[in-house]
Amino acid sequence: MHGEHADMDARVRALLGRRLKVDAPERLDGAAPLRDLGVDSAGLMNLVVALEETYDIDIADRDITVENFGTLDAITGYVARRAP
Amino acid sequence: MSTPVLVRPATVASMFLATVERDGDRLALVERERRLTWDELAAEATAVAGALHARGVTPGDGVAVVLGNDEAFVSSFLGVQLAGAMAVPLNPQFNVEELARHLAVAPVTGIVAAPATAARFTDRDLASWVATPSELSGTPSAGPPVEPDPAAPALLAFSSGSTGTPKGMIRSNANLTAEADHFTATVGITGDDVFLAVVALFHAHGLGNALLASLRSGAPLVTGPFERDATLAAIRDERVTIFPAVPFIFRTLAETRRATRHDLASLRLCISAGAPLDQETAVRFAERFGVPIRQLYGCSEAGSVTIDLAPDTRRGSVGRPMRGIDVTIVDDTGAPVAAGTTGEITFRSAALTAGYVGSDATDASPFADAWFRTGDLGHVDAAGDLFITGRTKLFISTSGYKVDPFEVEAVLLDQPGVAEVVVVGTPDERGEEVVKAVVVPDRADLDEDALRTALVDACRARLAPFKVPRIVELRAEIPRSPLGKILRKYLV
Repeated sequence: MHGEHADMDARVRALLGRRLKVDAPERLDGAAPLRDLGVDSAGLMNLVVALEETYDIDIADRDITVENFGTLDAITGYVARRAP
Repeated sequence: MSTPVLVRPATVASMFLATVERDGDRLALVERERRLTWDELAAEATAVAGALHARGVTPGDGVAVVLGNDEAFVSSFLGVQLAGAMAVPLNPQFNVEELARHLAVAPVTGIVAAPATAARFTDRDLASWVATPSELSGTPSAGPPVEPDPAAPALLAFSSGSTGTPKGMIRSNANLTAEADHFTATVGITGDDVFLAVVALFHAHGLGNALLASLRSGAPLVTGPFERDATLAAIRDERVTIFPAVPFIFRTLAETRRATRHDLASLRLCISAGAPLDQETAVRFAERFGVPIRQLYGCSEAGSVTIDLAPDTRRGSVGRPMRGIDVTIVDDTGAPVAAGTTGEITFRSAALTAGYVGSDATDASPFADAWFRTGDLGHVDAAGDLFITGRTKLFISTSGYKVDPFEVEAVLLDQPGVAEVVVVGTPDERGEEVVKAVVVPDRADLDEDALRTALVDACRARLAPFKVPRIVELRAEIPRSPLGKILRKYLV
């Protein structure tokens, strides 16, 4: 994994652990659907607000899709595209 | 301009029709691009009533309404009322097992559900028919007129039970019209107000403090799911004045960087219910948007009970009783306590259900002497303001929903490898409760990761997403007091 990307991956995992209390985020399968971890729409909104603060970006609700936020890998990819 | 009339209507249907008569050509309902006047909403509801009659629904029958926040929910709910039947609103997130558990408590004649929801349970024999809203539209006549009866059941509501089964209660037409009057009179709703309901209309908060209040006052109702951009746009574009929501929604808006004071400038009353509002959110929201959040206290049994309308909202109070409601704090023996002393919150209200149905019907203890024992702990200060300090019940409040820990425990205990389980709510970083399961495996050599995955999978199969434990912790034993009582505080 690319250095910068690995750093972002670790930060998103840390947010999942801290904000959503996901168990053992460092061992999370990046391709596993977040829904399977019990992350519902409210949990996702919680994460989105945290990502906006952490990366100084605005995330439009229309961007909160399964493609962009369905898995850890998808989130990391989305934030990498959006973050300055 | 219209204001609430003084004579209380006999039924929800007559309350609705009085508003239609008075405000027919004014705006009644907005859902995304759909805009209906009271006359148009009456036509939609009349068509539903006619279709229900054609399907054999007669006064007193139960009809499940399994719909989200949309025009179909409102016209279906009102169609059921016009038919003299009883609406049984249920969460469209429920899976088939949860629906079956609820409908076992309260059998219904038919089910109205969106196509995607209906497809989940068409192969189960839950009711004699299942119809989508479009299948109930287009009927030109309402069927035979229904004699208004205040004592007739209008709503079957559910609250989480303490035994793992849902607790159902019938609310009569008189209960619901009283609730609408208590609320609209206390907070001074007029036809110039505009409600926004992004909290679920199938829950007490959205149903009572948005839909029923709108029907009573003629103030239009804007509704939809909670999505930040759409919600902010709705408040701004529709000039929303009354915004009932839950702490999660207020917290999210307070933290959303692009929300501006301009977006929320029309709001005059933000009402938080469903869970305690944390002080940080209250302060941040008021500072950013210039409008305080008012805490409201209520329950499924009676709708809203108190609201804080005092100038200083920083004290964390849920305020004073709504008009027509009396609140008293009592000790273990049921005797009233002095101001400032903590005890169980009891109240009496014309909006209160007569009691529970199904297996809980024998549980009359909360209804003794017309004073309802809420199971909540609190005190009233010398000024008369109510403060809630604890719960004698153990519900978990997550994302605006109540989760009964016993329901989740029952699912987990059914799984292989589980000797014992306790489900608790634990705060996440924002103070929002999340569901946590503490599990004692039945042997030491189990693959812990596999067990965790299997337990979450089992919950996902049998429970709505908001009830699935976010955390599954494995322990060798559950901490107990010397008397054997589970020490939940050590599990959070």
